[in-house]
Amino acid sequence: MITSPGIELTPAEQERQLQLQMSARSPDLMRFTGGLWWSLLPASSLAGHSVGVSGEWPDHYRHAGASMAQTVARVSRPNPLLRSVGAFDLTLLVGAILPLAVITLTFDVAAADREQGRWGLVRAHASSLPRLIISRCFVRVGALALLVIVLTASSVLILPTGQWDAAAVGNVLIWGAWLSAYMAFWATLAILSNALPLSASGAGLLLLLSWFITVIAVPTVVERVINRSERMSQQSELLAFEADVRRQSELEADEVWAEFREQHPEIQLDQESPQQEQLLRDMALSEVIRSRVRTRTEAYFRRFLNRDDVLDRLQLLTPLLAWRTAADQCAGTSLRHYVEFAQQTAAFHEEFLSCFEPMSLDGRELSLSDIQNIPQFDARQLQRRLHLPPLLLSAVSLATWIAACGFMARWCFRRNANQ
Amino acid sequence: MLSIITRKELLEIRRDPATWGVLGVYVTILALSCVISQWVWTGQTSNQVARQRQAREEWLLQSTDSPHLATHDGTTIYKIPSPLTSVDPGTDPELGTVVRLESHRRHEATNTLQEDQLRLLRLDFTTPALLIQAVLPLLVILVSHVMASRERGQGTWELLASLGVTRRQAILGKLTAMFCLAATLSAPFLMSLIWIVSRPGADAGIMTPEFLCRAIAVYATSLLYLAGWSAAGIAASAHFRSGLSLMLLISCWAGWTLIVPRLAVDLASSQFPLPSHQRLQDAREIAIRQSSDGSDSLETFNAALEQQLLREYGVPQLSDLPVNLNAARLLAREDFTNSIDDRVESQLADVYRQQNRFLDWFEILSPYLAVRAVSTAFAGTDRHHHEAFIVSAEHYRRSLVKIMNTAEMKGERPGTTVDSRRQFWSQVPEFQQKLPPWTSLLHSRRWSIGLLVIWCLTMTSVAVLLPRGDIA
Repeated sequence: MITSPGIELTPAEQERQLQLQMSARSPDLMRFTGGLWWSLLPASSLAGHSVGVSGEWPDHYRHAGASMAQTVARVSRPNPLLRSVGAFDLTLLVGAILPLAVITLTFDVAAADREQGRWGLVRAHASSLPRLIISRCFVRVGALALLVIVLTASSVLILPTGQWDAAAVGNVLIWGAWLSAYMAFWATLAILSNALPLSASGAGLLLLLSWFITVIAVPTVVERVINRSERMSQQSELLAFEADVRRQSELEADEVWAEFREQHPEIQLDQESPQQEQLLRDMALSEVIRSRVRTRTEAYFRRFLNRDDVLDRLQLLTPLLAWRTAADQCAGTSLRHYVEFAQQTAAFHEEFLSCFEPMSLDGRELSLSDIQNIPQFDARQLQRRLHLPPLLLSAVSLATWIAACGFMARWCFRRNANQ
Repeated sequence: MLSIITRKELLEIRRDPATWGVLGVYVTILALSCVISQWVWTGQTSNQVARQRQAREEWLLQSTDSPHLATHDGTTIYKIPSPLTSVDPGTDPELGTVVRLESHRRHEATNTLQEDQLRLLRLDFTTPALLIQAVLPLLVILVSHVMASRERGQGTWELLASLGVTRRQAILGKLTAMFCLAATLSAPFLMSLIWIVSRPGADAGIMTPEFLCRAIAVYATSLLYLAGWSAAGIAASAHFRSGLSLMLLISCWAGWTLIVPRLAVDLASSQFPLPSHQRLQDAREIAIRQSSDGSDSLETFNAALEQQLLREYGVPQLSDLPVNLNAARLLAREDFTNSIDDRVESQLADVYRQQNRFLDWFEILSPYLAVRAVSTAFAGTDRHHHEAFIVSAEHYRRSLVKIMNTAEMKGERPGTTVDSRRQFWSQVPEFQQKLPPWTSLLHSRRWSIGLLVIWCLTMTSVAVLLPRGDIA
């Protein structure tokens, strides 16, 4: 028993399906039959740890006959609560929860000693106060980061479910490096708060406020601004557009046919076979529809990529955005990955449909070599590659934030030392 | 004594400029959020109402002369958001707002407000309800975590005891002060609810008294939740030093608000996966193509209809029927496709029900899940309400198709004048959106309400009834 698109086939049915496929003679039938191929996005080792947009965009598409819009449509009906609350993944854990743990571990690095009367003793023993605070913060945050990296690397590379290949190792290494940088930002922020002459509660409040601004406030504002400025057209609009184009083109069928005849003067119509003319008319019409829908589909996908470009530039506003971008890039679950996959699917759809057209024009049936030469969707071209520009911008953002906090902490230490 | 302690605590908060500033910023943001949400809701509602009227006009003025063809052209209905959507949109933005109605096919709701919107880590807490239920607890933590520990740290417990104040009185006083502050901070939310209630909401199918009860329930639930957090903050402060209590409370907040809800929905989705949409659609198409889905067949429906018509018209043979038999068979075909659709929908509904039941258990781990469940239920913005809308839309579609196919069967046609045509097409009544009564929500959400009450009482008991011994 095998599973075919939505239907479970018994061995007898499966054999019959195979027979039918192998005995297919009509290129026109092949063009319009849905479910003949699937495009599948290869799995990624870190995808489970950083879900990105994988809940909203499919990792497979099914050929839906002649319809481009239906082929690249995203049909799923998850529990709306899942969409509204969101999934739990390591990106959220590292981006939002670990900073809280960092705050818990570091908010009273200096103040606890001060408040419990041990400050004089600590100062007497420490050669350099800044160095003491820095080392305390970095040791605590470093231990936390190391724990997360080791656990993640183990689950991705070593456990039976993991995969050990160059791409996976590389992705984990980059992911670990960016996680370390993100944690370094929080450590530097903790050093800064400890460099200020604040009580433990004051330092805690300052860090929590920073957390709120970095993790909640700024990303929310960014979301709002982008959603307002970069409006996406809904996929139902694409489907409606295709239906409209189809209706409109059917009204212009005679003009389309006349144009087609002008473009293909070599075609000799068999007067005794009205079926041939009908098939060619259908082909001419579907070609016109396809070219109009193609333009619209390209624009539809381009909007997503443009929005991603805007988001990449805004990474400088908060380290959380930088971390999220890097994590999704390493996991191959960024919007860019899924849109590129959809674009590849759309391109393959075109290629698949157009490969039968010469045969229809020649008016010949499919031969075995034609069937063997039918293009196949090559998933290997779609390895979830890293996109360097967003990754570099992410690195710049994190480095800038670390440097800014570091300089401020240094200034505070110097100012306190002078006082 | 209780009121003196309460006043003293409020005075202390008022004297702290940093706290005062943070609270001021919060109230401003909440007020802004209420105003913007109200504005957005007004725009959405008037838009939907206008489109609904236009769709109705198009139905009444359609040019076709065949009632059956009219069912193919169909019509569209638009979901009018509940007025409380402006304070708590719940899952509404994730669900469709437009349903296309036509014969032979049950369409899904489309035009989802949040479709393809950028959502980074889904940490947007800017709706009024989320500002109250997710962000305000953070402020409660920031204020309450020092209330009792500060007395201990500064050695003023003994001073209070020497004045005849028992520990329970002191804790209750602080608790009351904290709750009063939290309730005061939620004032813009309350004002927003009063504003909503004072306006008619008949478009969304809710009459004002029903609506008032729903608004009261939303606010009362939020207050109950805030009371629980106030008690939790005082309890932690009474048992641990300020730094530790702050971190403990923040960890609880992060766990309850960020981690457990996401883990819960993740697990629910993986434990009870929804059947593939493609698979359901394919199965439906095969059933329609083969005129049978294994359980029911078109022939059975045809036979039942023919028997019914023979009885109804008292004739022995089908050829004697005074109606168009081919048109009558359209009714049977519709019943057949409806039965297939019902089976598909019931499969999905079963999985959703299992997922929701699974999620209910997680409310034990996170009171935030419980408060969200109750709040969205009373605001009319949960999946249950959306399902009610979809079901009523489907009933409407079936009645529309039945009325028109019956007219086709009897050979009725619209007249030639505008008035007669309007009258003919208005056989199909206008769609009325109805929401489940609020009393049914009390029953269906009793588990969540019970858990919230228990959580709140437990936190208060921990704060008040388990003294640490620092004060008499």
